Amino acid sequence: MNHWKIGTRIFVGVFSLFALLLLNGGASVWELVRLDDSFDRFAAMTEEMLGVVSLERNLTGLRRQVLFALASDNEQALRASQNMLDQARMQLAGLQDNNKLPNEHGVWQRIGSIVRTLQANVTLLAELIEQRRLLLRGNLEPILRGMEARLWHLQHLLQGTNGMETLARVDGAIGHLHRVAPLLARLTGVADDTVLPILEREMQTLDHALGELGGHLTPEVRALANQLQGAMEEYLRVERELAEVVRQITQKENVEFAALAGGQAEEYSRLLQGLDRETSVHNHGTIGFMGGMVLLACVLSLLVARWLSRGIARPLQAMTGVMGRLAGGDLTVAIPGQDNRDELGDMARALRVFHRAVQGMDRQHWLKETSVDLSRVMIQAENIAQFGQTMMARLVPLLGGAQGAFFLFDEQRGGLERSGGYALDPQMGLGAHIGLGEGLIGQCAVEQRTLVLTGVPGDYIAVASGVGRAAPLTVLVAPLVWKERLHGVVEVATFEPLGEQHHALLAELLPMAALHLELLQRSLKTQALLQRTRQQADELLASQATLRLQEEELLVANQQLRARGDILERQAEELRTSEEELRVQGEELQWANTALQDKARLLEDREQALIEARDVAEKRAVERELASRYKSEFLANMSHELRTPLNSLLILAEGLAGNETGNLTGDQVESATIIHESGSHLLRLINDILDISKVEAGRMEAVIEAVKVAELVGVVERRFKRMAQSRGVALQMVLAPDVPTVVHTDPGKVEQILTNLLGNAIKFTEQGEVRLTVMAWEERGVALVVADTGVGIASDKLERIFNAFEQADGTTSRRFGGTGLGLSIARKLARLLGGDIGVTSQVGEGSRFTLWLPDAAPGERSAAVVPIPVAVPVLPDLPPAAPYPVDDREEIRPGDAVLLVVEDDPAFAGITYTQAKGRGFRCLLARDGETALSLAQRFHPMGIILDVGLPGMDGWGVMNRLKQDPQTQAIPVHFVSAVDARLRAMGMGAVGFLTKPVTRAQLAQVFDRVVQADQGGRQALLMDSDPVSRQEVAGLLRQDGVRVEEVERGEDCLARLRERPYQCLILDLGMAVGEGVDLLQRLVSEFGLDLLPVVVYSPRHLTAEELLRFREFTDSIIIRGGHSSDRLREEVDLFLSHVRPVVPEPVLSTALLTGCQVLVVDDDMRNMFALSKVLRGRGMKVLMAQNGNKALTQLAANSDVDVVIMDVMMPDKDGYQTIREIRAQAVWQTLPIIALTAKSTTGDREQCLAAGANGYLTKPVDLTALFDLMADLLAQADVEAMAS
Amino acid sequence: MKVRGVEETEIHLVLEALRLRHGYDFRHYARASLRRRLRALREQLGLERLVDLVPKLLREPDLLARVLSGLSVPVTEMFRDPEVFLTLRREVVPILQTFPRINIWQVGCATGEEAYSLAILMAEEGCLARCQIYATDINDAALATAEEGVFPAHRMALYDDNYRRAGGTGRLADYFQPHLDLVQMAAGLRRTMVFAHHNLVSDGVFCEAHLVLCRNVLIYFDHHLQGHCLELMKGSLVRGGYLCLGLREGLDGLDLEQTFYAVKREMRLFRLRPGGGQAPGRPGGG
Repeated sequence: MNHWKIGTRIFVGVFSLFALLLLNGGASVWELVRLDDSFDRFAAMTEEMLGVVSLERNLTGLRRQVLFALASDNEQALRASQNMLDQARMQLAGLQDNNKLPNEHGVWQRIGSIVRTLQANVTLLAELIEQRRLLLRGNLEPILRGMEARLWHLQHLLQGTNGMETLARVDGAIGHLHRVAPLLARLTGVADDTVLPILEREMQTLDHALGELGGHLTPEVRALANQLQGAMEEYLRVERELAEVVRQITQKENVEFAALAGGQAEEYSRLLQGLDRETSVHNHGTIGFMGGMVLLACVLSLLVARWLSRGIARPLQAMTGVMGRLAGGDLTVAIPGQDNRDELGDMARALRVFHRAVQGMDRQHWLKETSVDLSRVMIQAENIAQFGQTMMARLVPLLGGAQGAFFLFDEQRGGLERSGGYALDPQMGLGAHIGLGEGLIGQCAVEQRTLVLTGVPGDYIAVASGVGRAAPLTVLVAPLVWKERLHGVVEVATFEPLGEQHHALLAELLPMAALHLELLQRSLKTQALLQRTRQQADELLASQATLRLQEEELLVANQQLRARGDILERQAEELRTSEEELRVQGEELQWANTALQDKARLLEDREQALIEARDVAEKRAVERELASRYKSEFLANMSHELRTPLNSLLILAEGLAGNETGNLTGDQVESATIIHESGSHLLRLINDILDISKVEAGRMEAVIEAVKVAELVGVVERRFKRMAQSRGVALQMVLAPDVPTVVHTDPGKVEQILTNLLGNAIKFTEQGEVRLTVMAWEERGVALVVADTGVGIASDKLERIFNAFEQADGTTSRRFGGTGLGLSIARKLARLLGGDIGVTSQVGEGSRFTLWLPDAAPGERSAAVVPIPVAVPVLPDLPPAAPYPVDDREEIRPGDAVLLVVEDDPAFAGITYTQAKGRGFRCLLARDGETALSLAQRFHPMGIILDVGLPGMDGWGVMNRLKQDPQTQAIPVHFVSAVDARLRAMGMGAVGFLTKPVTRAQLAQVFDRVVQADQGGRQALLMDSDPVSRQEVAGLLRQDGVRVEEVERGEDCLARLRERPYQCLILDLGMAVGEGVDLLQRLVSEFGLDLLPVVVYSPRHLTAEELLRFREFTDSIIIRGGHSSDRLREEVDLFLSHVRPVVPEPVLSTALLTGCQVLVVDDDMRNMFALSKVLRGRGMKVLMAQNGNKALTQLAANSDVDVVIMDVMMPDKDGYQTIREIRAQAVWQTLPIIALTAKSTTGDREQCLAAGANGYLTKPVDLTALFDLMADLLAQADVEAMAS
Repeated sequence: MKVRGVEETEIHLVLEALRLRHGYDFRHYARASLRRRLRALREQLGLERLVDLVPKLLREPDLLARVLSGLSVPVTEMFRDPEVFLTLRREVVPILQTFPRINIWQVGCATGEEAYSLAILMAEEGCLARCQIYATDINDAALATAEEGVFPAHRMALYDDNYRRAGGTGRLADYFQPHLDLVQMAAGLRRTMVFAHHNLVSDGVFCEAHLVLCRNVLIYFDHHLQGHCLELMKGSLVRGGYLCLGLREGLDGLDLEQTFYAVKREMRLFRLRPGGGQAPGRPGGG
């Protein structure tokens, strides 16, 4: 190029020299200047052309790239084409900037339009790719989402029904889907051979996963899965097709483009080479010419200047004009002077070559421009019709045609269809179908070759316009073929024959049109597919919405069902639960029923027996009654019968005793007197018997009349005055002022009663007086009290004196005589009169009989018994309802445990008595306060059980008296009463209070408490260094009647305990735990293992170790908080009142074991401590561990352990495990281990031994067996130790 | 000698086989209930006659677990009879809290729901840390489930209701973790529990208990065995310890009152009488 430029510059320089040389040449110089200018322009044009060629090359590459990208939808290709496009734009801009040449010839315009078209292509391409992506997304993603949702739902459903395996499968399927989705998304960007197999594989996996799910899929999900598979398959098909197309395009296009580009490049290079060659030839000439020129200029310039101005100037002028026109773009100019043999001729010839090159380039430019323009138009077509129309609209004028038609090849139908035209006869219309091979069009399609008909007859075709019609000369039928594939046929009719230029144009345009058609068709297909997919997606969405609705309904229904199911299940479960229990309950009830029935039957039998017995008894009673009456009647009769002879006998005897005739000896008189006395006695006896028989036979009647009390008293006074005087006893009659003057009663009976009472009184009184006091008995009548100062009657005999045929004392009876019937008759008579007789008596102090005599108003002649007042203070003695039990007072020996029970209810007294006897007490019974006090003084019982409600002095009075008397105040008193007055009782110093009714067990506790209290009282010792909490606890306990002594320091505590015994020590752990433990240890060392009960009251939680240390001394450990004060009271109360059973320990020979060290491992602390205590008692050293780990620690710290006693059932690490771990250590291989277990099955024994235990014992531990086993094992171990 | 019917004889033989071969004595179980369960077991095992179980029991050691499962009634739920738990919470726990360690023996724990309920109760009352729950049963299969602490999730709704009625102060859901359709009880609860095999008929006292729960177990026993069980519980209980029986328990055959007094009879809640257990104040009497 430089060469060319230098050449031209030299050329110009030479021309300039010419110009300088010819300065004086005038016009010639101007010509030269113009020539130079022309050369400049020519040079610029050449340069420009070269730039265009370079740009062309780039654009060719770009075109290829774009087409490839379009065909393959390849994003990379797209990006590459965009880059190339940018480069082209820059190149263009660079060219425009560098050259300030005018642009009128339109080369830049053309190039610009090419670039723009390409740009449009790139944009379209991008759109297509986007469409495709949408297609994929639109098609697959909703399905994927739906699928996923369904599968989740399915998973949800399956959870309720089937096992994990199914769930895993569903999970797998969903996992595949999740993998497929991003893969698909990636595929939308790139579709090539490497990705397709992956997609296919995923498809298979999904297919497999879905197949595995098999029966678990609901129909809905299966349909969805099928849909997804269909969509994926369709997509795969499209992909495969596209991949195929791409492969074809890339293969063939590469070749074709290579050829095309190669051809073009070749053409250009050939052209340029030609140009180059010619210019270089010209240059060689020019060099020579230049030499000549220089020579000429130097030597002949002045000489030939004129000749020159005439011979050269003219042709130069002509040439300059031609060059000017060429530079202006006129390529039609003729170049003169070509045939000249001179330099000018050479110049002209060179110019001709240049002219030709420019002409070729121009043609090429036009072709490209046209092709790019058409391409731009075609690419904008949105459908086939538009494509055909616009293509024909451009093509036909370009060919100079008048009419044209476009036929689209329909591959499926195997024919052609008219799809566009140019100036077509309206009659011919569109849409006509032409088969392959049919007519010229069909033939052209088959041959895929351009057919040109010239000299077409006038009637073959006519072109019409508004002004006329004419037949065209030439008809051209050309196929649209791209890559040997037919896309359509174009028919053009022209009036002019087609030139070479037209054929070149067709060759350029038709394949391009075919390509565009294919692109359009594919785009349309894609659009159709997209449309369909969108439609499908819409349908899917709609169906999904419906489905979702249904699904929700289903879900709701499902939930309801499930809820109902749950309820049913729950009910069923509850039913099932209760069924068995109910059954069992029912069975138990049935059993109880049967038992009840049995009992009922038994009872019935007994009742029957009772009824029978009663009948018998009744019958017997009647019989007895009858017999009694017979007896009484008999007696009555007999009395008369007896009395009659007796009467004579008495009279006779009395007569004889009087010895009125004086003929009897003293002895005989005395005998008669005795007979009389005996007779009289007999008579009284008979009278009494008669009376009592009458009363008992119900034949005694009271004759009521108004009796003056004073008269009555006078009668009896007169009767007994003498008798009293004779016995030296004063007889007093006292009439109280309020006594009614008249009483309605039977005076005979009253007299009889009073006679009996006064007779007895006088009889039993040796000195002193007998007093009859008459007083008013409330409003009811009178009370007559006969009091004496005689011997009195023992209290236990008091009641018996009223019994028939009994007397207070056998000896008395002998001494005083009498039938013993008198009082019995008197009481019966008194009761007949509606009253009664009561008695109080003190032995040696006399007796006091009271006759209550009601005033029986006239007309009320009745034997009705008037109720006797119970609580007449002066008259306490009443007839008992039941016999009062006899107590042990006769059998009491010194040292006996005596209990006094003060109780007026004989039944309860009897029960208490029996129970006390059962517990080894001697029991005294007192039915009133006075008796109780005297018994207490006399016997000093160890405890008193006291009722509140008593005749006479009540329980409170008794308690007061007991506590006032120094002799009795120490006796513990426990109240048992129907009156609930616990506080009052405790306040008076009672040890307890129990409210009636009580059970036997309660009664037993009462005994315990009384005994306990007797042993030392309720004394507790409270030790607490904190005064506030000490006060609080002491106050609490004192409320319960506990005597609490408080100490502040451990030393004080020990000192108090040395002084006197306490029932309980309360250790309030205000101090440090260690301090507390130390104190307890000192207590134990000083007072022995059987320490008094200790209650540890801790304000905070204890660790396991601390607890263990305290548990050695007590199991009564209370943590403050919650209801701790309640429990404190419970515990203290228990220690103060409970009688501790003494458990005898077996006498065992344990000498061998003394001094050996035992490790006891048990989580049951009671057992551990009980065992420890026993072992220590046998002189063994004991270590303790609460669990397996602590046992191992203990063993590690104490290598001299001789034997381990190991509980098996412990939390965390059980005994088996612990034993195994012990055995795992070489040191402990032979250590004797005894396992303790609560289990008794054979398996446990084996397990224990297998774990490494030497022996096995079941709980509760039999100590004899334990010691035997220990001794055996230790002996064995010794032997082994010696052996080793 | 009394002649028995065929089925009675068969049952007798099966029970003797169980007792002699395996050491399980069911002779004092309530007969009618036992008969029902043996019949069901026969069908379950596909045996033609009940007596066919005898040779199997003698020679197939693996069968024992199944037979034991079949003979026990592993029915339980969390906070069953919530009012009982409410009573425990309000009236028993405040006393239990005064003990330095609290041991609870749950007799016949089946699949352990009640034991977990107790643990939750103790946790909420702030004394789980010093609490040890021994839950025992003769059914090893049920014990295994109990030890796992895995229960069906759908039961939790019922349990939640019970829990609230039992005076629960938190949320039941805080005590377990859901796994699909199952839940697992919190490990913190399980740490306080020992699930162990224990046969009321043959095994002895193995722990010191402050509270014994034996709910609806005694109803399956005859009076002789009931008395034996009460002795066991008495032996386990500390002084003043509590006994909680089932609401369905008929108390007629039990001679409770000698050693226990009723704290709340309608809740079948009893307390050991002072002196009803061991002697107080010092390490027990051996």
